[in-house]
Amino acid sequence: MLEGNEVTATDTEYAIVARGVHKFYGTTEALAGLDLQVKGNSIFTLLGPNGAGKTTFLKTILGLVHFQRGDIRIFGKLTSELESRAQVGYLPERFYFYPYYTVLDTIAFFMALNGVQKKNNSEMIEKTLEMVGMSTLSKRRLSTLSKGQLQRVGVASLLVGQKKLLLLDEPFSGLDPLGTKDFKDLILKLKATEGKTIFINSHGLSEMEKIADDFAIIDKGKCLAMNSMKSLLPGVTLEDFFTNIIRGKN
Amino acid sequence: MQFTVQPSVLYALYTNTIKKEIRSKTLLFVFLLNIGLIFVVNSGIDLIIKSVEEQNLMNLSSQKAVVFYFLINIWCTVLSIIFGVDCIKSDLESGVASVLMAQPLRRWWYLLMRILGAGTIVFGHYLVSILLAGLIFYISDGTNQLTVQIIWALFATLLLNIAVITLSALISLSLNKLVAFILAMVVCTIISVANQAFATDDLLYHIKNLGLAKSIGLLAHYLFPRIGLWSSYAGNLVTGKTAVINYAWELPHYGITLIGLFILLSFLFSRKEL
Repeated sequence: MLEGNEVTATDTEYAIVARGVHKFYGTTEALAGLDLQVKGNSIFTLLGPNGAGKTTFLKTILGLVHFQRGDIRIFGKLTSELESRAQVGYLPERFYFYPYYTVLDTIAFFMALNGVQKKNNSEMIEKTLEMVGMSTLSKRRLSTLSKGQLQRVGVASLLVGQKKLLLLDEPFSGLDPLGTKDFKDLILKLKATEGKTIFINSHGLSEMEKIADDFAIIDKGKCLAMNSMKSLLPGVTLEDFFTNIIRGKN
Repeated sequence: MQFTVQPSVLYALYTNTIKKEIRSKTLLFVFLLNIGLIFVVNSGIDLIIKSVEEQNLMNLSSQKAVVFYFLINIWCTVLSIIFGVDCIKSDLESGVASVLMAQPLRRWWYLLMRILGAGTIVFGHYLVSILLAGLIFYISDGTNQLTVQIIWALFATLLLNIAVITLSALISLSLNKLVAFILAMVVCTIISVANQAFATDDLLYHIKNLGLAKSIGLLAHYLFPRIGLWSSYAGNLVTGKTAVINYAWELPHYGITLIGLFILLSFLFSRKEL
């Protein structure tokens, strides 16, 4: 079902390198020695059934969840170092921030949290809002925005923090078809024009097949496959490949 | 980017806390209640002044602010507990905490600014209430009711508030809001009672004949900020009674126990998975 080589570009800059990551919740092993590499300036998708450990892995990258063994490096820096987090932005499945904040307030707040200097604030905010298509809604309160618009605010809050790696957890969940298409376009634009690395946890196989460069499939905390999207043989969809891997037919 | 403490980041977190907590409906409710109280105290004391002062029993005309201070002080601790429980718990429940902690922040920066922000709100609320009361009393009978003692008492209350907020935030980490509120009330009551009971005699005297209740009381008295002591100190200042406090002992004790509480809170929060 595959052609070409697995993702092993040792000489390129990796955005994420995870080695032997173990995470236990009591006696349950959520991550069972997970190994993963994500190339810089790429769109990478982590696929897996519910409970596979996708969100746990994503949160370990951010230090929101502690792991017991192994190590994770972000652009060469261990995740235990606070500096690593300056490079990483996180968009949860449902971006929530205080509903009484306006879009502008929210962006300005995240800028401040990331220690971005005030000198070019308005210019940067303007540019970012234009990038995510929220220029006309900048004075609206978050409580009045749709889910898709909130996701865009979430992305804008990552961009003003000048993050190189964006971690998106189920970004298409709950979006209507138009919202999904717009968000896919935004992700592609971020990679192409801003040079971002985008790591996506997703169940949306068909969406991911269209936009991702590389993918990994995990189940029960273990990586079962990690490949380039181009390596799928003609006629074999990501869905076919995923199904076969998970059901152990491959 | 440097990862030493950055004042601009702390300021952003602090103002965020103010913006978040100032919308509290509880705050609005208590503030409206205070305004009502100002008028009740004003007209109530005016009413009884005639009967009491005519008999030369006592001079109440200059005591309106004192009476008002005592009335609002009744729920001072309650308001601090509400904000203490809410300041971190609401972020944990809504998912904002994980978005914030995904930023390049030390977790203790976040906790410190949440506590200081909540403390500012509670303190600001009392300050505004007292000033408003002073103004209304002045307009009503032309006397200045705001004494220096009341202002000092407010600062003592600020120390009390910060300690109660820190303690409540600690308790709220692994409990739901209602249970945390009730438990924080119980703990604060135990500490206050212990502070009153053990304030005068020395430790060696108390260690004799140790029972369970006495042991709990002594632990509460020595290991936690003395909220009961600071509360009664503030009360004594306001009423003009002799307000005696051993600053050389009590201020360091307050500082050390508060820092201890904060370190424990930071440790537990750093282990929390978001």
